[in-house]
Amino acid sequence: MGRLRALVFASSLTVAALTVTGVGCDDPDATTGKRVTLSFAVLPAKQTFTTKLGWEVTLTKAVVSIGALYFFDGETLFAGAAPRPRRAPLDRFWQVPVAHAHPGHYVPGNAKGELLGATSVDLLRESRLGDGQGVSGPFRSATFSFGAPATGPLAGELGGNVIVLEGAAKKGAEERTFRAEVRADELFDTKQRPQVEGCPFAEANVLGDGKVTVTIDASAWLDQVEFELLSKSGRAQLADVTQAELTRSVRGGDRYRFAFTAK
Amino acid sequence: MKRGVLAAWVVLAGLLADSRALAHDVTAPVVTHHPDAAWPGPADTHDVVVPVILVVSPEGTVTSVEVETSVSHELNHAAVAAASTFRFTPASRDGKPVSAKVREIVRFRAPVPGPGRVAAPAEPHVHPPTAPPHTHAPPATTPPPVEAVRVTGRAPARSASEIVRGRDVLGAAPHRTASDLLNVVPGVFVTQHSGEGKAHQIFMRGFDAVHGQDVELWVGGIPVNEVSNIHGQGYADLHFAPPEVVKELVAQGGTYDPRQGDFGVAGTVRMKLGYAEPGIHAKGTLGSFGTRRLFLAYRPKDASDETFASFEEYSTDGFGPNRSARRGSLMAQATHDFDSGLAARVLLSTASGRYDSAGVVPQREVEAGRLDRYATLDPKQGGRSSRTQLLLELHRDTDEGSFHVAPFVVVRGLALRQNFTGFLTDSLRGGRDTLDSDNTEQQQSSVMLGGTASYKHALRILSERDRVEVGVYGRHDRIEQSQVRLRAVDDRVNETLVDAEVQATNVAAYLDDELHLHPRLVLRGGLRVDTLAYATNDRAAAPGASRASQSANLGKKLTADVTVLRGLHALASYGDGFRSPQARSLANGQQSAFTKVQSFELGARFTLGRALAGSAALYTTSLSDDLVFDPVTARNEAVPGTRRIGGTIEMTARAGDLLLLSSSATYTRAAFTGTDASYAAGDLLPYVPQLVVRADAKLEHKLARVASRDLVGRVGVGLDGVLRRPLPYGEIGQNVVLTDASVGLRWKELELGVDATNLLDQPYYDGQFVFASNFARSASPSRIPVRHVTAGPPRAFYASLTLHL
Repeated sequence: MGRLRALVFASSLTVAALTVTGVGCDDPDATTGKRVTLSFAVLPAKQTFTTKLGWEVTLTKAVVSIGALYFFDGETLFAGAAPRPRRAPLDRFWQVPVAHAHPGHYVPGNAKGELLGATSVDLLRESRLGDGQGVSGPFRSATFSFGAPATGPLAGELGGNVIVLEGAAKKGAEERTFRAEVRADELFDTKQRPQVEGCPFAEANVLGDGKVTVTIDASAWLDQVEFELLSKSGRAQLADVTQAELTRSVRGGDRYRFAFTAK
Repeated sequence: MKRGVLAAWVVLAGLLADSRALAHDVTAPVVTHHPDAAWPGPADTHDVVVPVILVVSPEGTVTSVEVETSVSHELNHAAVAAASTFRFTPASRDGKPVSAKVREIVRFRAPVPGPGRVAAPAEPHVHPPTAPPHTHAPPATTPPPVEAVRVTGRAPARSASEIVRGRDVLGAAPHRTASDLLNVVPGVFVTQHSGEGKAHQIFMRGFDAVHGQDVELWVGGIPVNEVSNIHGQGYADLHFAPPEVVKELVAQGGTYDPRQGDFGVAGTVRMKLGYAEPGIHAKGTLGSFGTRRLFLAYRPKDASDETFASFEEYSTDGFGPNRSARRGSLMAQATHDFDSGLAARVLLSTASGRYDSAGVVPQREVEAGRLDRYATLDPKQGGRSSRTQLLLELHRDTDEGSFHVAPFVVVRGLALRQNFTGFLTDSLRGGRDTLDSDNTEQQQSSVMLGGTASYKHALRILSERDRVEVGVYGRHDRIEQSQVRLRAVDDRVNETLVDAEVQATNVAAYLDDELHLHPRLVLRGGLRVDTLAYATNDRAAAPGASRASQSANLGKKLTADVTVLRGLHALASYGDGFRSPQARSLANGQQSAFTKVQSFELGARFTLGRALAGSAALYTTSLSDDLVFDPVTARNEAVPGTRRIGGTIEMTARAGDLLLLSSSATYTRAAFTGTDASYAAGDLLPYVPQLVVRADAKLEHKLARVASRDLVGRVGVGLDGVLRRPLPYGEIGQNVVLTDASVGLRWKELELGVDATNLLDQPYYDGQFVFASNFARSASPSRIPVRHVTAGPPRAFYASLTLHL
């Protein structure tokens, strides 16, 4: 019986010791990447600006319905034109690669972060959008979605639209007051989604929690709008031609820029 | 150590003395006490002899015993113990007693000897009978007629961690499938995440082998891994083999044996088939969740345990929604020894199964209480599987050596329907109002023709025991496969993802040498060349998109085996291996697409008779590139090179026939050695558990004698532990510790048993994956990968009544 006990003891002890050792050996290393929390804010748009057609515009209202935002590691088509951020020596050491799209095509790559849900914001002031989630790694591009139907604190002002702009435009002696409204279906992409893909994200190697700022360039939306075509009396709605110029500009990816700041 | 050196000098002196025998008056040792050996376990129905080489001292005692031809781990040790008790009238030279070397046999005598036939089972890769006895001084007594006995054994270990698990260990704890038996291999943990019919997921020594991509599996001498399987490379479904007919399991970690081929990355496991008990056996099982099983087996009373036939019918309602399964199998094997010395083995089996699968659920939904852990989010998941196979093996022993040839044919059918991601595909593409399910069906039918052949004979270079073996292996697979996405409503094809015909050919040849450099040092190793050719007609890619590629791989293997003390061996091993690529991934004319594998191992094996045996080893395995579950595609994708570094220890202890304890613990650290867009060098591989522990215990004892028959009781316990499983993004998966137990009473012809799995009813996840999904049909779903799980079975009981006739 003593021998039996010894065998039981020896066998059990071996496994137990190894198990304890294995559990106790807390490996300091981990798998690649980590989850991060991203806080979001929309920076105020310029209230007064001059369009490319020479109109001095002053916005009195700029309300947008924002939907889901997604961030990817794929590089945008705008990346080549923009000055590239200097890559940190650590990045080169880790050989964090850059995902290049085929010429003429944007390939999102891997999803790195997102803010789900929808809200509505006043573009003339800074707005907090809440927190989203992500994973560490390079952020290089984004998808901007318009929330349809509009929700959030300014949903009433938006009505059935996703963008409402009001203001005054002046060019020499010509003056116009205007109201611009954009519906979601005017912004559908080829897949019937009111969203803009391939928006530039100032390249950032996200290693931890931080803040993502969204800059919506409302001035660029109105760059090609010829206000002269609008009625001089009262607050005019954009005419068909000018509305088309507006929606074309709204669909431009570089109207929505994103940047990351580490906490 | 001094004793060993002294013995070597004595042997050398003996040899020198032998060469000068003509000049001296020399007499050989004469055996005076030659007892039969005690069986290490239950006695077989026939005699078994183990050839040994003894050094007899001038006093007539045995000072050294070496097993000349390995029969089995247990029998070897019992033979050594018995031979040590032999007594001799010592050899003499010129009338003076001297030390001498003599060849003898140790006999394990069957309680009731079989009628004129004594044979031990064969295996394709086993040591053949020894060459004719070569003795420096022939024994005076006439040993039993060796020529009437066919002795086969297994090849000596190629690494310290190589293990053999026989029926005693395999039968200690309950095992419901042959795949489940793999859990007794140190460092292996097996799960079944998608229904009782899909191939199990295998983790081995720091590898997530998924359904077999990193573990080479053979059953009954037939390869199981499927080349370029539509569901995953190396897919190995073991449901065709009932666990009762697996008599032995040989597991080789690493890539040290020239017989190891494709998929032998983490290692190779070979299952040997046989049924333990002669007669007719009928076992009926009723269990939890509507489980019913009928198992019938027959083994002729005068045949070896390798001659048997079995039948299995199994069905279950499953432990949750959409988990029912049914399967049936027939397996028959027969061996025959011809008078000419030719031995034949025929194996035929056919099996089919159908099952439902609950699939994955998002873990956070379960943890938040919004979803039952056993729920299914797509009840259309499941599949079918069938396998029919035939093998004919011929084995012949001659004075010069032995050869074997074993052609086989396997016909396979497979269909899998699964949905890992809900409605994500359409939501990413913009389906918005027309979101359709990601339910995907994979189908494959294949025919494999192949065979193994080898020739082995003595090649006396440095020692009488030097040997060389040449072998060939070949298989040709003709595969039809498809993968389509089906509409949720009417199951019509929504999208064709794969529609291909693949022809894959693998031919290989190896040379394996065994050199005895010194009585204590043996080198085993050789070379293996594999040529793999693929022809793919990728009909889904483009009309006429046929591609062909061919490449070859050379693998070098070497093992140094040092006898440190009697029963203690130190082994150092090196081996190259490879893993073939998915045929569809190859470009036309592409070469060198193999994953290159390099393994090193250093360790020791020890045995203290039958009571205690075990091993301990440190190992490393490096891969030129690897495959890891990809969160975007929800399947394994190519990643940079990786390296595993680990250690394993295992031990089996026996207290007579009363108690058996077998336990192991394996720790492996798996990390990347290269960097790409998703992974960085030095980071841990996701999904592979770092620590795997296993313990099997069995207590068996005669309780009483009732009506002139023994009443024998048994209790068995199996413990599985999988700890520290890294998941993507620096997370650690849930630890799993499971306990299975079995109790039984045998009263001659009647046996009653109750098995319990997950005895402590641990809630656990047997599958853990990280990816994005959209089961909620959201138009703007989360695209950040999150943890998805499949729930492991809760506690279940299975009661069996067996008739042994």
